[in-house]
Amino acid sequence: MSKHEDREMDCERADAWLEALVDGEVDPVQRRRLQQHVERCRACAAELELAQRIRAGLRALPVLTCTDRVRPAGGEVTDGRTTPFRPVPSAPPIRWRSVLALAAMLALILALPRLLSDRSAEAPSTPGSPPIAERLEGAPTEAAAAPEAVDPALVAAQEAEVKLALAYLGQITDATRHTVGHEVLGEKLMAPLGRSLRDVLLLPSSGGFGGERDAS
Amino acid sequence: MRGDYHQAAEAQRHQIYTFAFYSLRNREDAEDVTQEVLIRLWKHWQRLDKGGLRAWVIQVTRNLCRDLARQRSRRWREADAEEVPVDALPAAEDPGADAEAEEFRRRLSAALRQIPEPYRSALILREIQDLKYDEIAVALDRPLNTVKVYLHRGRKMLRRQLSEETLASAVEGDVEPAAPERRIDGGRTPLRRFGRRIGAGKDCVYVEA
Repeated sequence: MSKHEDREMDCERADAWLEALVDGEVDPVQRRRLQQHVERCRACAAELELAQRIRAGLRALPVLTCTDRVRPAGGEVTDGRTTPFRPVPSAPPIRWRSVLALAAMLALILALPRLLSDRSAEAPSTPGSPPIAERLEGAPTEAAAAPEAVDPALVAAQEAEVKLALAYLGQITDATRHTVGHEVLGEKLMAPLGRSLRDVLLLPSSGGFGGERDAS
Repeated sequence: MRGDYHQAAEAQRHQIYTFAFYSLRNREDAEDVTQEVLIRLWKHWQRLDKGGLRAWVIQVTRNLCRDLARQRSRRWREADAEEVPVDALPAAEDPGADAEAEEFRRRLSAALRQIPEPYRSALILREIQDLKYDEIAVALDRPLNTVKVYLHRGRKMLRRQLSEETLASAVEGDVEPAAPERRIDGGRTPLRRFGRRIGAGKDCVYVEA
């Protein structure tokens, strides 16, 4: 196997210089070497021809005329009257309502086992147990410290629902071509929602679904 | 102010549309990009340095094309590509040559869309929109020599791509390959390997026939 080469120019060098040759940006000495090589090497001659065709073909591609559908913004001035601007058609808007509804559903599903366990722990509390307000101030009761076990079948069913909801959320964001980032779901949605749920249900802060705020 | 804006917008919109079409190969997308650029031009009109208007417009157009192409990338198929409108092309005298030129133009504009940035932008601006090197350098915010390198590399990428297509077609038996098949001396046959370097970085090697 041997490459086609001469003392001053081989195919690799010629190939590197073909575009410059077509552009007329090689010095006379280099140009003469290239031309001599191309005269001897038919493969490089074919490449040079293709480079020239590409150059000519690109130059032959026309500058296009934009349709009148596209108009200057800010209203068009014609005969002293201003026509209103037509907004550009763009990508479909994010279906935030759907996303928010799904996220809320997700938060509820995630919170449900905790709610159930806390409530079940609260129910058998003795008459002498401290009121909820005291618990919120940081004095955990024995009942709260030892909640009843949650039914594993219920947890499994809820896990399945969470996965379904996540898959559906993924489909929606994919269809709307938008990504709901972790910072949005976690910090802007889940954490506030979690805090709201805790406030409403008067549950002690336990770090569930991203809530960092103390119950106090 | 509005009169100046309209004059500038009218002067730029065909250039914006042309750039967007050759970048995206879709008329509606190109129109959307053009409209969006004109809106942004209006919004920034008072603060804009009018001397750098063309460069600003090109930069905004490039960014919008890049964003839209990214959005479309998951669903894009070559079949979705639109050709250059026939009415925009100059009429040819010879119908046979016209068909051949049309086919080459189709392959060329398809290959152009495959060229990565910033090479594609440099090629469109230089070869189709006929900007000077220094104008492209300002528009792309790159030194003049870098622009020349972009152009050379861009053309070389196009050549590689079109060579590969020709070779693939030849293998399938559709068309004759552009490169010669046989050398006279010593009964050796040149084996062209397009787009891939063989051995110690050589494009052109010869094997015994």
